[in-house]
Amino acid sequence: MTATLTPTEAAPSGPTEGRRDGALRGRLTFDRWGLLALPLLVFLLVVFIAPLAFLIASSVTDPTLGLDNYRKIFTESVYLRVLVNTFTVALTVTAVTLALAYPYAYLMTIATPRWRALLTLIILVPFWTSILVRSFALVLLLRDTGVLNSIAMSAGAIDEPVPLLRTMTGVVFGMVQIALPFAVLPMYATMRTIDRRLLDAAQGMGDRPSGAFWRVFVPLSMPGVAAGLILTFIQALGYYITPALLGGPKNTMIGELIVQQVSTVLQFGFAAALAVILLGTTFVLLAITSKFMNLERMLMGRS
Amino acid sequence: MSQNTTDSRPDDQAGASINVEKVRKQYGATTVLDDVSLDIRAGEFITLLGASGSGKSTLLNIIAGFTKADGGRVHIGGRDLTKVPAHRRGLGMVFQHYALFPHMTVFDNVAYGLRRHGTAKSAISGLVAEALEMVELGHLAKRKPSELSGGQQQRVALARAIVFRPPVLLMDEPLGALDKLLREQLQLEIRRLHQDMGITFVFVTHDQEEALTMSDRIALLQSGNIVQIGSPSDLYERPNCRYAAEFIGVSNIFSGECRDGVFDDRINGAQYRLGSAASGQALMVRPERLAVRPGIALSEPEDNAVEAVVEDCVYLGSFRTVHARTSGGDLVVARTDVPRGEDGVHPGAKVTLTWKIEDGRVLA
Repeated sequence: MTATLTPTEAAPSGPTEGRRDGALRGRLTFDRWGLLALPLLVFLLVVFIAPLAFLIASSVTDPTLGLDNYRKIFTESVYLRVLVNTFTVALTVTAVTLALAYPYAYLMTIATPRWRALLTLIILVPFWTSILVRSFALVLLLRDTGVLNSIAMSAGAIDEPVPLLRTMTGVVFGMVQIALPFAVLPMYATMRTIDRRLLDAAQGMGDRPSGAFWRVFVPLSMPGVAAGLILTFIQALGYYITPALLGGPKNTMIGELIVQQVSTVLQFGFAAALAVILLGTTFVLLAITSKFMNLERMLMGRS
Repeated sequence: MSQNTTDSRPDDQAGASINVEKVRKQYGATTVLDDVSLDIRAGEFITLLGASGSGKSTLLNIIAGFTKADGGRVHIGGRDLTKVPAHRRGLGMVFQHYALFPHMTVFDNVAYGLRRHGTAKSAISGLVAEALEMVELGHLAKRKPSELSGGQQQRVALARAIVFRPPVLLMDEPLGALDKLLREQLQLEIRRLHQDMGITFVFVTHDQEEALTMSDRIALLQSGNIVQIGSPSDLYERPNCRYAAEFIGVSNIFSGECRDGVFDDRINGAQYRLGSAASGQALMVRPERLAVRPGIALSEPEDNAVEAVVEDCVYLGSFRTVHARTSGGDLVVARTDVPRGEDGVHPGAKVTLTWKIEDGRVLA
């Protein structure tokens, strides 16, 4: 075999699409219409940046100057348990959400337009419904005399109600259904950009359809999976209403603890310190993620 | 021919023949392939040529196993592969948009097929390097596809498709996304690759020039049927229908009727002699077969002639095209040598267009 093909084009050192895109954006210069963004900037400064600064400040000044509030969180077992519980619940929710969302997003990508519209609607309708309403609805579903237990008992599967409410199972149940759209939508956004011909190409080279899926489709869907995971996990850390309604005193999450500190025991400094920890964790997670992935691309659903 | 190519390379691994037998495909009410039969010889370079919607890509995808035919059979290398899925057919495939795996390096893209075929690890890097050398991209093995130009990506796609020595290489408009100059270079390179490898190439394109340049044989498809199959010169010189004549190259077509060895062009009030008895409603003459003479010249006894008025002359360096309108309103294009001086052929001039009797072809 002596055949050769002669390359005649210049070797590319050129920028990829994404980079060219970025350069273009950099060239857009400020004009007077940009001033219209000013009200929003001022608004954010007043209602977000300033309170945040006060919050951070009070976490180290109230009631006394120093890091006492933080020390208390990490040394007293009650609070430490809340932190551990918060992460456990958030991780469980994320894992369950991933397992449910990935096949669903995949189904959306292969469905006909009509079915895809229906699947999108199904995932979005809960999204447009108040979390409070949905969580109360879950109470009706999960309580001892609720729908699930009634059906299982009348079917003879169980003799007495299985406690779902006031347990971690209940909390995870409720949080997963709230988190699903946040996982499904970025996954779908990434998956639909994957060229189906790549799977044909893999099979044309002798790979089984399942092999092509694992070696080609799954790796290429990872940016969407990462986006879905990070959105789910960060949200799950800060949930308040759902764990408050569906959980019990044994599985308090950090959000509930903050509310309790502010509204019941009036320890503003301590509540602020908890909030700062929640915020800090979020930033650290985002920083780690952005180190490995292009966050903007993930959230804009480009791949 | 073994399906599981290992690192040993059998010398008998020449091309396989392909027999398509009454293949049928419908999408809803649309018939994409209407009982198409096609015999492709082992080792030949055949092009499936047609406009978009002619069914050429569908036919290729049925041969590849990516699309299921509604009826008919496909034999490759004598084996009935109609029900065999794509991944067990062992064919090479090059896609229009390359379909390189963006998350893998060039090396891993090319090695993909070898790994799936169970090639020994120790042999893989040698075979990949060899395939990349064939497309002169050995130095880019570590790059990602996004770091390559379009032409380089298509070369990687070629290397990837031939590295496991398939008996058949299928190409679906592989040059469609490239600019003209690059396309012409790759055409010749693919042709050379075909000669060196000796395997069967099935090439899909809508570009008739590309088909003429590259193929041993061309199958011209129109709305789900093969209207003509033959060598490039068969299709160009002896089209068997008006569609083939108009699709391939430039053609001048006069409408009329055949009667007693004479073609009666009533629109232009002329009669043309025919070399042999024929029947049909159209007479075709290629532009390069027409001679342009200024004024109303009597034609040689062996020539046919029609009068026209020149509308435009286009100088193209090595030749000239003359666009002239006949009295009946037909626009005729002639391709002539460039005269040394003024030859009386200029816009507005009355001319006589002549051609040898055997250069006219009657079409159904």
